[in-house]
Amino acid sequence: MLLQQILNGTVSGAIYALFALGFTLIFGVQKLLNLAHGAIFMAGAFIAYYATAQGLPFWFALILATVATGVISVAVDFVAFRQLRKSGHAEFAAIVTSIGVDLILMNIAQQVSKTKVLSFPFGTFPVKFFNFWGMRISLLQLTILGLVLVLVLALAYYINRTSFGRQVRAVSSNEHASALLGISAGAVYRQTFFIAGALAGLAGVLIGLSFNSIHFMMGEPFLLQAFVVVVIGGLGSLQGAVIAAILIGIIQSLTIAFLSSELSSAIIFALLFVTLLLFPNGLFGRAGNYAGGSRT
Amino acid sequence: MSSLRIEGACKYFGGLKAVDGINMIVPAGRITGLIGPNGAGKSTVVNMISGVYSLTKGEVYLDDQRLTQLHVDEVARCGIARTFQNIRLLPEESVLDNVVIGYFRKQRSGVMSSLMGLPAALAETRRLREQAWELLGRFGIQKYADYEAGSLPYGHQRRVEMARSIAAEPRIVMLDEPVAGMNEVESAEMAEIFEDLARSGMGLLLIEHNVAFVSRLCSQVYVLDSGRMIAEGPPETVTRDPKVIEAYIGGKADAA
Amino acid sequence: MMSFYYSYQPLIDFFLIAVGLGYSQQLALRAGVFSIATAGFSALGAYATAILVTRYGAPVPLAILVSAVVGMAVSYVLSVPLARLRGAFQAIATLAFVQVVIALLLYFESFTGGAIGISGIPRVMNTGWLLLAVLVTIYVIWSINRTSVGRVFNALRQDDSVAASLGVPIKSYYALAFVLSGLIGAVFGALRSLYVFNIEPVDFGFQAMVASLTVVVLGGRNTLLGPIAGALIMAILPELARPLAENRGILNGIILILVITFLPNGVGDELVYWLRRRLRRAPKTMSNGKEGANVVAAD
Repeated sequence: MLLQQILNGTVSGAIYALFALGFTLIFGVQKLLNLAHGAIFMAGAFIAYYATAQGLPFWFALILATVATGVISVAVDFVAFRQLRKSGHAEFAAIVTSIGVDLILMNIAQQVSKTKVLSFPFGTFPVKFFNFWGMRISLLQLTILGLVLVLVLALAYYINRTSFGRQVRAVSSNEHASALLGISAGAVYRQTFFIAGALAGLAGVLIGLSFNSIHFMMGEPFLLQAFVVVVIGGLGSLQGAVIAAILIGIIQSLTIAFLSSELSSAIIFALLFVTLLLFPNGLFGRAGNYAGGSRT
Repeated sequence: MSSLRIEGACKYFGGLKAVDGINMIVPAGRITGLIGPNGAGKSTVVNMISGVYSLTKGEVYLDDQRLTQLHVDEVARCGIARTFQNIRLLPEESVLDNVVIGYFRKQRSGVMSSLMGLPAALAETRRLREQAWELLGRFGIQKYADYEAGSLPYGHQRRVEMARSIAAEPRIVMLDEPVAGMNEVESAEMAEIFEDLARSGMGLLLIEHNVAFVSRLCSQVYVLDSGRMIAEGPPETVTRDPKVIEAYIGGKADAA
Repeated sequence: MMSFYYSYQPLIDFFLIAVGLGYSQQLALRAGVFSIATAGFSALGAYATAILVTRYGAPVPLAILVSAVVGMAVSYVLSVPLARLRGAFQAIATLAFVQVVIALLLYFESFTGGAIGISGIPRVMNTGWLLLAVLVTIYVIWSINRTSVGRVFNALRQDDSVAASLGVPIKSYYALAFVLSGLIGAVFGALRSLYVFNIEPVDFGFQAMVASLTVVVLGGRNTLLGPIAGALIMAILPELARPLAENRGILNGIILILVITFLPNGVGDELVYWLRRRLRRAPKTMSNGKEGANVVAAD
């Protein structure tokens, strides 16, 4: 029973990781909190749903949704953030513009779905279970784990080994210096927004499939969750986000199973608070320490 | 009349000995100089006194009061003021308001009267603004009172920061490169102001690259190189000390 | 005039509450505390008053007082760990605080009514009382702006090490800002509960947090006019968009994006700055044409 919960938690944590990775990538590179990320996640689920409803094979719908949300994400950047970057007022203002985008996307989704809760047609994904070590794992869960693992490794490779990844790292640490070196910050931003959006959209499809419910406000709780993940994992740290996401998934699964779902929320956010108490920059955070008048 | 005493002060950052065993006295009513080549550790010393850095070893005293472990604001409230090498003015405030904040230590109306908007608090604000205005006059920058602090040329910004630092009449003020970027005329004006301040009983610590400027003003000069004090004494002696010349020029100078 | 008032009364009342909560949010940000905890304090204040009045029959003024005290106490306790955090981390910690409050409100069902919340709260508040509360708040903030506390808050926001080097005990003043923010938030939360008949946890969640922050960012983070302008926009927007029916959300979103992109300091602040420049009381910059040239030449 315990092991089963841990397994379930790991799977949901894996999906949180996809969502959180995109969020932390954008923050790491641009220091922006993109509150529209939840809506992009939701858009992924919507696109996949309407694609399968039209009769397209699921795998195709999945890829379509992933790519489409990547594009939507770049469009969001263009509409909401590009102008702010130019005027140099990014931090606070970005929160408001991303809220604006969030409102727009949710409204569109609400109208399209007529405020109904949607579910994928039966048989969209084969229902098959495997048993081992006393645990029951579905084909879907296995697929999710596999998919997330591959994507995380691919992202890590991309950021750390390719030349474009180097550019991403350069722009995140110092945009001006990078520009002097001929790196196009705009191209970097577009790519990171595409990746972040695609990952979030994919996560949306997987969640929509796992819980078999899709509705226009489904992104909100995930956004809150993402805050916990990126803080505990360290804003801007990719490996931190993955580890923290899985931890959160497991803790959540265990507390819901053995305590209650409301308490689960309280515990996770209290955990966040305590983590910040002990590690003011997150568990894996890198920024300098704030002295606040004391001697260093 | 207070004097600042630094005894055996060291600051090690891991293996790096940024400051290694220095002794210094900054007496009241005098101008003391601290010179040395770039990277010698002069600003580190200022940070150690003002409370930004802890001391790995040694002590800092103001008369018989031990400052060594006090926080930045506590040190300031003892009457120690400083300016910053890279000029730190409040970017969104006007020049006048930047100086007004310097009077914090001397404010008498409390938090409650401020929150309630009592006449005493409002009157004090008016009074402080007038005093700041006068102070700006002393530094010759009164006409910029309403200007955005960040829009002034550096020389003028330094004057604003200096005015801010002495607003609350500190016992000791540490000036970090106060005349950097100023021409002869401007530095001479500053020199007069510094001498005035010393005459009124303030102890000044002048950290400067401009050796001529320091020699003119200071009664005592300390020379720092790579974290160590290599010379100290009146300017005439120190500037002829071969160790000092070597530190600045980097080679043995001809004795003749 | 009176018919205008009657038909728009709820709007005006909610506008006033939004202004109050906006000031709570703005005060923290002005002092450089990146807090979005206002919704949490509002929740605490609302529930404290609602429970005292409906369950224990406490007199309304006492209930509001208790809410105020709760708001101050909780914010004071929180300010200690919050002082060690900076920037986005501080914001997220305050967000966590709000979520914990909501989660606990949901969990302790027997005490708080759980997800259903508390209903049957007597409607004691009307436009008059709300207006009074807002005016008192404005007076306090206006006083702060003109005296020492305001100066310290400005310094803290822009460069707190400089403030420390001038003798400001920065931790105490950060705590002060946060406590004032908590006090105002809790009081207006209490006033709100005395207006809406019933309250439930979802009223104080992410949407509420975002609403207060939007009021301040849209309206202005630094001037007295800020939250008023911001709350006005937030109150009028849904009305303007009403003819659009289901497309309201889209219009709201577009307006938010446009306003912030072109008036990044917020509508209220930009208006105040513009007025100050017109009245020549604003800090001038060096590039003031003739004056600047004279100044340079004179040196």
